Amino acid sequence: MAKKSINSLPSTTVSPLIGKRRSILFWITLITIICGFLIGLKPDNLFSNNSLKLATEFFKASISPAIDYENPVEGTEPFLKVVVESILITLRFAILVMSVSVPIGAILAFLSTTAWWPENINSTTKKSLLRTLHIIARSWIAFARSIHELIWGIIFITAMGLSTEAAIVAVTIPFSGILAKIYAEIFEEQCKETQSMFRAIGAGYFVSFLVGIIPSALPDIISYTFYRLECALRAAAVFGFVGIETIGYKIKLSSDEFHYQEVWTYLYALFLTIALLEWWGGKIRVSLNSKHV
Amino acid sequence: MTKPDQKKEAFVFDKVQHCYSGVPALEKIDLKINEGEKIAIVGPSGSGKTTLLNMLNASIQPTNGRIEILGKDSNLYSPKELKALRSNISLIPQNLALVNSFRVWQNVITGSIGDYSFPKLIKNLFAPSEKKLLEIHSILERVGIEEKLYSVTSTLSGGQKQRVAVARSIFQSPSTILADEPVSSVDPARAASLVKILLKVAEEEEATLLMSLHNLDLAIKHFPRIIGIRNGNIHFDQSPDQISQRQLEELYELKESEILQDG
Amino acid sequence: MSKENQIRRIKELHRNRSKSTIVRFSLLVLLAVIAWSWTAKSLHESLISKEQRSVNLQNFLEKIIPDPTRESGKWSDSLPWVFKNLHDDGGLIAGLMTFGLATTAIWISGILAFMILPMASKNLATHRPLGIMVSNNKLTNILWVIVNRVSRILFLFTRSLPEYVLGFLLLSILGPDPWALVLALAIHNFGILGRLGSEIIENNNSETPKAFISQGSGRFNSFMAAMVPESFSRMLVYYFYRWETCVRESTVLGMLGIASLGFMISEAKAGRDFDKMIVLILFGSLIVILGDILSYWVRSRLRLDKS
Repeated sequence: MAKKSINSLPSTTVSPLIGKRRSILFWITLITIICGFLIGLKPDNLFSNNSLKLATEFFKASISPAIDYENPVEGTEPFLKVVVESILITLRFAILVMSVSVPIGAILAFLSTTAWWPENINSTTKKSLLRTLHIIARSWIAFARSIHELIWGIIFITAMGLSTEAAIVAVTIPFSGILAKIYAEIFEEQCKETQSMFRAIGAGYFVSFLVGIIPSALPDIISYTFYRLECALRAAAVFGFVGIETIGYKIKLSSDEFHYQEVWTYLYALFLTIALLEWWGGKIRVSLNSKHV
Repeated sequence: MTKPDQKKEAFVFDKVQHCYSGVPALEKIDLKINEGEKIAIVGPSGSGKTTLLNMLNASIQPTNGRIEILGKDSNLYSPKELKALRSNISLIPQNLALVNSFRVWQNVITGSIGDYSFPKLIKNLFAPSEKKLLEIHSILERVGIEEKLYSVTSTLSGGQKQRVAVARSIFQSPSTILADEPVSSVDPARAASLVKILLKVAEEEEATLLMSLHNLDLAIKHFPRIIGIRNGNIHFDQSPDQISQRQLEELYELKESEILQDG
Repeated sequence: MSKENQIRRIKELHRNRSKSTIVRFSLLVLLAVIAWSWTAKSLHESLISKEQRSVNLQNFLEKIIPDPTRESGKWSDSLPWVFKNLHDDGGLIAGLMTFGLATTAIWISGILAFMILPMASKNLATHRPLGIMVSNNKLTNILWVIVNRVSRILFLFTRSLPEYVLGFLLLSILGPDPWALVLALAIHNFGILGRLGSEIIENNNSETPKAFISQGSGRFNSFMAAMVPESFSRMLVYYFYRWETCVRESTVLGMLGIASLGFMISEAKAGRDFDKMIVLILFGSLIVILGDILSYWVRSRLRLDKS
């Protein structure tokens, strides 16, 4: 009798939690395995002899990245100079993208968030105007985000021909949308008390939002913008594959000639740039959390 | 906004009732508050203290009954008049509502946010005139944190932050100061010192002071008039020496079921 | 205090105010870099003349109108054509492929990142896990520092490689096999999930894992028994958030040459079937939005769960 009551007691408190977690993991794994079958993933293919040989060659090259061309041609610029230049071009592309995306994203975020709206709007025309703007901004953000920057790039390049401007516009469209979405989320997460206090002492809703929400949102916003800059660097590298002369273009050329050591040099260069960015962003984050903007 | 001299009554409540989606928070409140009075509002959580305070700057309108603010029905204020009224009523909420990444002087400047147009606000926040700085410095001297003029607000201690909020209120030069449980999250010594400084400021500025408090002892020790609220009704409204022990006990008496609900 | 004295005092306070050099410096560097980006010489000399460009544009705008509509002038005639493109030509299958790639990839990266997690978290991978000293041996201290650094660098390195570039390299190694795309997505997201996961672990301020360690439990046991259960929902939230971005990314990976949506888009482009291309792009956008909604639904359920 006593044993039975002990058994029945904890089952209500402990088991359901563990069971729930287990069942979530079970379902995720089951669905994943089904997906693997559907797309035709076969473990054997991963370890076929031919691919193993190439893979070993590729990863072996990672230990000794190239410091000069593997197959030097007279009259070309020194390899390391080309690496640095391609990084600079990639960086410049990313900065251009971000310096357009951030202002557009901020405006879109402002239009798409309800964080600054007056609590009770009396005039109906004002109300419907705000609503319309809100819906338009939200839909545009969802649409712009849902198409990958590379596809935007293909649309613009087919329409206007290959040019850096087209590529920058192409990346700016989804990036400003993503920035707007995250900025709006950050605005809405902030504590509303300062803002509502400013309203209660007679400030307008725009001013209350500006002074009551923006300063406390700024650290998160800067932090996310840094992450997006990192994404812009990667997007710039990818655009090398459609013909913009960023680092991706060089990786493609070297890889097409099976110069894997050169490929690794470019990959390491990209890694170092992003690591530097991460380090810098971390420094700023720390000082923002403790000191003054 | 000019203070009408002949009128002594700042706020008059006439059978005021307020409901949140059908549930009454305040019931049939009759109340008169004169200009320059210093009043503590006490009562358990959820008794309607905050609702009462929010009615004084017309943030909340009564569901039934009427409130006269400075001799005018709170429903009849036009948006422009309302803005002028509110810029004359300062507010110190429980978490102080300071902008933590601003420096202290910038936070003090935001006291006048209701009077500034957008460009003027930006100018004052980033390039204040010498006159403004002198004024802020003097106010900070009055509340005893003069050396913190250029400190970043987030680096201050809890007690210093309270002083900044008081300084912001002074800068607003209000006719009424509303403080909504400003001391509920600090230790007793800091609580007493904040209450004293707010009373002093209200005296010097000839402002009406209404403060909601949890701490009965503080209210009895420092305020000439105490309003006890329980379940949306005024339980007592007297000077501290007239309040009986029984009334105080009744105010905070909770049924067992209520205690369990709260937790 | 006289007015002069007061002004002097204000100036003194202003001089001694705390200043954040790193923020000022960063602002200057940022402005300089932006100015350089806009003013330096053109990135790419366009070989196409302005006239050619406008001809291109006109051509493109004409051709994006669906074929049947161009002939009959009625938009309703294009509906069967859209259906034919998506159903008979394998657009729907390609769409499913997109979801499949993302789901498999994120699972692999999730498992791998989870295994490295305790070693990449600063508060666990040390000789004083969660501030409780467990070993005073100099060698183990150094060993933990190395383990921590290496796993962090691994996360950062894999994160810094774009999926598309990884996909390209892996295709050249593995040949045309879906593994290449799955691994490309998995490697990049391994880095991101690892970073997000170690942030969760490092921000875990709960007392339970501390209590476990001070009772003599090892750091891995404490991680599994206290930290993981506590932050399980948050980890899953990130898992689904990355799944969503994987769906978006896998719409383009097909361009590298595996039969999927991206592949069909680049084929349509090469064949100058711009109308078909636009339909496929819009279909891809629909898939991504669908993925967003699904992930949003799951994540909001998980958030509810937490509270």
